[in-house]
Amino acid sequence: MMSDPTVLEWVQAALNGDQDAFAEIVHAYQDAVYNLCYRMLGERGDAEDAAQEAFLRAYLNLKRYDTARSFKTWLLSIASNYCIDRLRRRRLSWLSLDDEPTETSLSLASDDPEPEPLTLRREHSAAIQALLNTLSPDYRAVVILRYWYDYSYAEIADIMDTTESAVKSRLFRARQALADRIDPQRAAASSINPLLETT
Amino acid sequence: MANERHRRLMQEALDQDLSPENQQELMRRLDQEPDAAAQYSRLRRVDDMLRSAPFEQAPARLALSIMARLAEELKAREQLLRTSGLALAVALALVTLVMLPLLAAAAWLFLSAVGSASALAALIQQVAGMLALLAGALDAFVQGAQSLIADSPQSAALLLALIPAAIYWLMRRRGEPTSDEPDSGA
Repeated sequence: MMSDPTVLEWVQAALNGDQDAFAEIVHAYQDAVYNLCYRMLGERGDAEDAAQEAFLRAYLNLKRYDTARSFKTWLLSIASNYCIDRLRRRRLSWLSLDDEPTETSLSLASDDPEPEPLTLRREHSAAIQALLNTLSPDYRAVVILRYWYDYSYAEIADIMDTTESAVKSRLFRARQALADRIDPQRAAASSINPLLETT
Repeated sequence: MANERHRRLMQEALDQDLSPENQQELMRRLDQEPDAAAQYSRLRRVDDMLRSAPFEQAPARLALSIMARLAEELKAREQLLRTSGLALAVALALVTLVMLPLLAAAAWLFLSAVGSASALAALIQQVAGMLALLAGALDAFVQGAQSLIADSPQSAALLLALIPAAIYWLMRRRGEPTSDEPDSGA
């Protein structure tokens, strides 16, 4: 998928040293890059720093950008690779897919009977982040690119420099792991068969 | 194996990539097995939750801080380029200065040799002779080392072990004050 002609013009201008053109690129893609970094790293400060680094790397490697590819895909691949490296360097005790969760069971529903919309949104976002944080970096990146950016398996494989089958397998295992980490009792209590419900 | 297949069907159902036949098979399975139905329900909850996940907006200051960091980085690179260019120029000037007498001597020899054919031939002969001598010496050294190692293989290990000892001895020698230097401890 090629980029918008306007984006290609900005890229060309930025290559010629026009920093205003690069500022347009930053404005156009800052939310996409920031959201990816935030979902990967789980902290706003880290996400901001990672987004800065991703744009900086993009600018310094602009000559390598292949205009036949989507600029957004290229930019997100820089950001996701940087975040994966950063997570690996952190050397924290990440929970791998094979580990048992050490925190209390994650609940997707709030106990507040009438929560404010903003509070609900924050709780929802925090619950999702807590679940994402239990995945290893490669699995997390696949889930984020699939659900937040609606990328196909082929596009995710392109971004992560891997095969479609590897992406499919990672997404399969990531969903399975996330499902296993949802509070089994709550899940059973509200258990319905969605396929039957829709038919 | 059947479980694995049904897990795969569940995943394909989440991707909305299930054929009608496979969908019916999955529904039958979910009807018959409460555990599988509960598992599928959890998968659907995860899928729904991820699909409805909010998109985090970048802070207002992000674009400005990116452009500021970029300007800073470009300035630092430019400065580094200028500094390294200057350092290279100084290094080249120093090397030229040191090499100047040698280059002058070599040029003088070459020009004198070119001036007379016999002198040029003699020079080439001398250079070729020196190269042949060097090659012969190297050949003799390699042959000597080979025969020594063939006679007693442990000598190779002994010679290798002497290298760090020799380096240590040389370093010690460099560290010792010469007789001309005043004793700093006094």
